Amino acid sequence: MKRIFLAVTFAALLLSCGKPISSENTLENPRFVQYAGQLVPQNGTLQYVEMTESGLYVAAMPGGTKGGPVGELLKYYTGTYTVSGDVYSLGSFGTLQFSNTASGEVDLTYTIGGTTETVKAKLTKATTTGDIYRSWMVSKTRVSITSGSTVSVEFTGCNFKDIADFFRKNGYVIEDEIPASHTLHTVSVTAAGSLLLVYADGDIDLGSCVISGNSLTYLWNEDDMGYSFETGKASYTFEDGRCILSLDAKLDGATAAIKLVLREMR
Amino acid sequence: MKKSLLLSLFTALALTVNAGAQVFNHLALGVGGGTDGLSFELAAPLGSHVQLRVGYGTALGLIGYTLKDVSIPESPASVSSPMTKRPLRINLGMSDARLLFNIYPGRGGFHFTVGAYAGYARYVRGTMDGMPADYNTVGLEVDGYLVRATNGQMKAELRAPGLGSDSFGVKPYVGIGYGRAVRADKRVTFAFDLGAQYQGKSSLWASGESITGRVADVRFPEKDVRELTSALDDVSRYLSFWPTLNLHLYVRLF
Repeated sequence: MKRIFLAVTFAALLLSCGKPISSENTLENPRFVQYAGQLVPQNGTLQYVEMTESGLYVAAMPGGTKGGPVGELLKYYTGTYTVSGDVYSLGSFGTLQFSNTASGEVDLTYTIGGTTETVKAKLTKATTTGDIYRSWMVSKTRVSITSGSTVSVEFTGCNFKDIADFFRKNGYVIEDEIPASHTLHTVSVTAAGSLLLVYADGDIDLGSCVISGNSLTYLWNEDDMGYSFETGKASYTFEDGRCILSLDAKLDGATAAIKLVLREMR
Repeated sequence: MKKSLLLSLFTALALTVNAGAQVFNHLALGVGGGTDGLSFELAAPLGSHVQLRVGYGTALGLIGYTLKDVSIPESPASVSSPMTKRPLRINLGMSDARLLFNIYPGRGGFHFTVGAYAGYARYVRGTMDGMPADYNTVGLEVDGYLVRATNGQMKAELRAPGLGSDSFGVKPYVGIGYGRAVRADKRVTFAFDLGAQYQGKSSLWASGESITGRVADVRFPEKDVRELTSALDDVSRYLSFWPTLNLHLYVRLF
């Protein structure tokens, strides 16, 4: 008995153990998924409205400096919206009323700045579902340059000036002039096919995107949007309940990636 | 699997020994130190010509050397960064169990030793303190894990698998020595060993963080290491066998 005890004691000295890692990648449907869609009025002052699955809106009016999906220089407004029946309240911007049941031509009545207009509008509703289609807050950014080995840097949040400066420090020429206040606030991908970046300084980049598998290709609505080092290609994965959106970047003689750690906007 | 195999082999050995001979009729507790770390052992006779030693050793980071002026870029993210110098502390870093058989060809203390060390594959660790602030945010990315400094301190380690893996090394040992671990006629004995552990090829490892905050040890690709230094090739060449020299004091328990 003593010998067996000794043998087991000796053997215990040789043993150690590890612990498995588990992950949860399940996301609930966003709250406004049934209300999301894209409105393009055929006439009137309101030019464009995008309503995301997470309750964000972007509306476009004439008189701005950026181009848009309808080809004019537009001024963009953004905020959160609420819905009561057919009435959409777009924060302090105004209200919309239309029948949001299916894609197609709808009668749209909107009130903006105290003025009410009724027009025909083209409504595009989502035809697909997926975890990517919602609005996201940026919690962290990792920028990587691969030229042989991969050198990376991490930032809290996302500031494209910091990203451009990192590229410059590594010897790459970046011509974009990006203000320090250009901090990315939210990223929205809509099932209606839009990619929407809202910055803390109020600027907005709006483009169209196509999802195929875990790849995302996007095209900004005009040249002033986005940055010269973007390729228009991205991919995404879900890890630990967060979305990792990786934007491919192009540098002279190297490949780069801008990975955004996104948590769902609620 | 390897752990189960070792357990099975050892249990089988214990259950099949000849109960009538001088087998496990004494037990000694030993403490010692050497190039395989500080260790404690249990030793028992397996007949008059073989003694079994089982134990655990760890270097505890007590033995090492400091390279005082290692040049690094002030900013790792800048190609034109000036160089700065920082001290690099290199310590022995092994931490493993051992299963050894002392074989005594005669009645004296001279013996051959065969067996193996098994456990953490690390055998050297390096620490650089006072890294410039940029090193806390910029680093090398390996398999999606970012390796960088934490609070100005960068750590890395050399691992060698022997016949095992980079996470669990199994390093066969062969050596000679003098002294019996267990003697029926003496309560206290000393033993001295000199030999070598087969380590195999060394690799450089460090702790990295995934983009979502998971922490894991990652192995630097050889091509990345060669871009920084050729030292790892030299280490692999000269330290594929780890020189092992130790001295133990044993106290017979019964």
